[in-house]
Amino acid sequence: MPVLDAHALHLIVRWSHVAAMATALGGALLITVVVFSRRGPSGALAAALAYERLFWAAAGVLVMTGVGNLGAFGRALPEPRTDWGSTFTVKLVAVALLLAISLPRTLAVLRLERASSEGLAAGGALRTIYAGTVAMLAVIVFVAEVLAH
Amino acid sequence: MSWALGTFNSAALALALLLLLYPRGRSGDTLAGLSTLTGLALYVALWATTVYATRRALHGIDLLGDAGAGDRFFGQALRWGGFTGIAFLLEAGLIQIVSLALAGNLPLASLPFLIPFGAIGSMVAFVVGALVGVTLGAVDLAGVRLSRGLVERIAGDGPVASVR
Repeated sequence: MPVLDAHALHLIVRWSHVAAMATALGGALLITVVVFSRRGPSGALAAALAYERLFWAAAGVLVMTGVGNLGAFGRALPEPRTDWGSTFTVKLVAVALLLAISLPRTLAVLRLERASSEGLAAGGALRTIYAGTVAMLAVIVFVAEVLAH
Repeated sequence: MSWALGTFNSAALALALLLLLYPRGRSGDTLAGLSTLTGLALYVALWATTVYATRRALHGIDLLGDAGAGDRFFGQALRWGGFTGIAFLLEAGLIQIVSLALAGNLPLASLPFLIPFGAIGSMVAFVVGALVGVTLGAVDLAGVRLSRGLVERIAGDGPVASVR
């Protein structure tokens, strides 16, 4: 589809990829601070619900633009046996793990909404899962940085 | 809920394909056959169709509140997975036709021959979509079970009023 200049399109795709990761990581950091804080626990559930909606939008954009970034390589995509290829495989596995921990996290927040929880900020398990989400996103950003270099 | 599950399902499918193709060194040729814009359009089509199909599959089913909803969900996952397979095949065909038309390479004379291929392809797409739907439905249900355990742990940590 020669509608857009290829370089401009790749720039838009890459910008969207980085912006989606910034949204996912920044939002997870914010929610982690909220659930670790004992101040204002009543607002924590509303914030977590909003984040979960945003997270899945970001996750969809990340996968979509990630495939788009690979498409920009085309046949020049490095072989899986190279250092870049091994690192990229690690990134794919890390993203799969992120999705695997995020589905039960989102569903748990939806269950808490039904239970009209007042004690979200006090939940140690919730702190663990949001801290785990931040850690996994940070690992993915690190691996992405290694790939970019 | 359908937003999260539908997005998860489409992203998991794309990642699974990448994890299958890339280590075998086959993704470069596959991706090179698509322009970036065509690839993005295909993913948006898959994403939108999967979210819609998940919403329809969950209609009348309370996965979070009804412990026996899993069996009914499997039937719906089979049906709406099949729907997603056919819909995505049609969308992919349409995107390719638009892509070729914009590039000025659309072979108009060969379009009628696509009809029998489309009919056979739809049957294959239904079966593949149904199998993928049931597989992802099982993963979704595993997520539902894990979320129940997680909420029980959270309830043990803090003053949660009542948790199902």
